[in-house]
Amino acid sequence: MEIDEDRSDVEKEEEEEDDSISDLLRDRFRLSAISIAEAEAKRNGMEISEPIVACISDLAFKYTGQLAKDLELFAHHAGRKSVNMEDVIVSAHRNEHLAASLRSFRNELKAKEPQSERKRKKGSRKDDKATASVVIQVVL
Amino acid sequence: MAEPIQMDTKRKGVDKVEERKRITCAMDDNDTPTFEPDLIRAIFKHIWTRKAQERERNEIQNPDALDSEVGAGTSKKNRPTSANANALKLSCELLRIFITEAVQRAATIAEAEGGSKIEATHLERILPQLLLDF
Repeated sequence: MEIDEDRSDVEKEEEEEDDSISDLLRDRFRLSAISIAEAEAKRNGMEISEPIVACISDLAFKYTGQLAKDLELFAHHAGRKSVNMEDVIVSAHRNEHLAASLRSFRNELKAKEPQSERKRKKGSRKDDKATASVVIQVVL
Repeated sequence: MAEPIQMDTKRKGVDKVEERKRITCAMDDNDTPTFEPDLIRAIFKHIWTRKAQERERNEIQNPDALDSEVGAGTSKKNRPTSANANALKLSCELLRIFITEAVQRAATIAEAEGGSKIEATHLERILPQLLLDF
C-alpha cells in the first residue's frame, strides 16, 4: 500500500507541474489569439469584447490539444514518429474549403524552399491556381 | 486605442500588454497576426511527452503486452512524437484560420442584426457549424 501511495504522490506532483505549464501555455496562446481576433474584427468593421475573445481563445486552445492528438495518430498510422504537412492537411478533412486553403499554403511554403524540393513538384502545381488567401464561404 | 485613459499607471499597464503582444505574436507576409511556431511546438510537445509518459507507465504495468519481437523487453523506442518545421507552420495557419473563421462568422451574424459589436449570442449561434467544420 505504501508503494502505491508514493507513486500517486509523484503522479500528483507531475500533474500539478503539468497544470502550471498548461496554464502558462494557455496564457501565451491567448495573447496571440487576442491579436488575431481583434485584427479580424477590425477587418469586418466590428468591435469584439474581451470576454468573447477569451472564450474563442480557450476554445482554440482546446482545439489545439485535440489537433495534437489527431496529428500523433495520423503520423503513427502512417508508421512515422514525426508529424509532417500531410498529417495537418488530413486533419482538416471535414471542410473542403479549409483543406484547399491549407493545401495552397503548403504549396507556398514549398515554393519558398530553394533546393531539391523543386524537382518533385511537377503534379502539385494544379492546386495553385486558386488564390493564396482563400476566404471560406459559409452558407447560412 | 480610443478609450479615455485616466491614470498614468493604467496607461503603463495597457502599454505593457501591447508590448507583450508585439513580442509574442508573429506576423506573416501580409502583416496579419498569426501564431508563433515555437508556441505551437511547445503546446504539442507538452501533450506528446505526457502521452509518451503514459505509454511508458502502461508498459511497466503490462510488461508482456507487446514483447514478441524484442527480446529482453527494455528500451522500446518510446520517444515522444515530434513535428517538422513546415507542419508547425501549417498548424499555425490552421489555428489562425480557426480564430479568423469564428470571428468572421460571428461578425456576419452581428452585422445582419444591425449591431456593431460581437456579443456572446452571436458566438453561440455560429459555434455548432464551426465545430463541425474543424
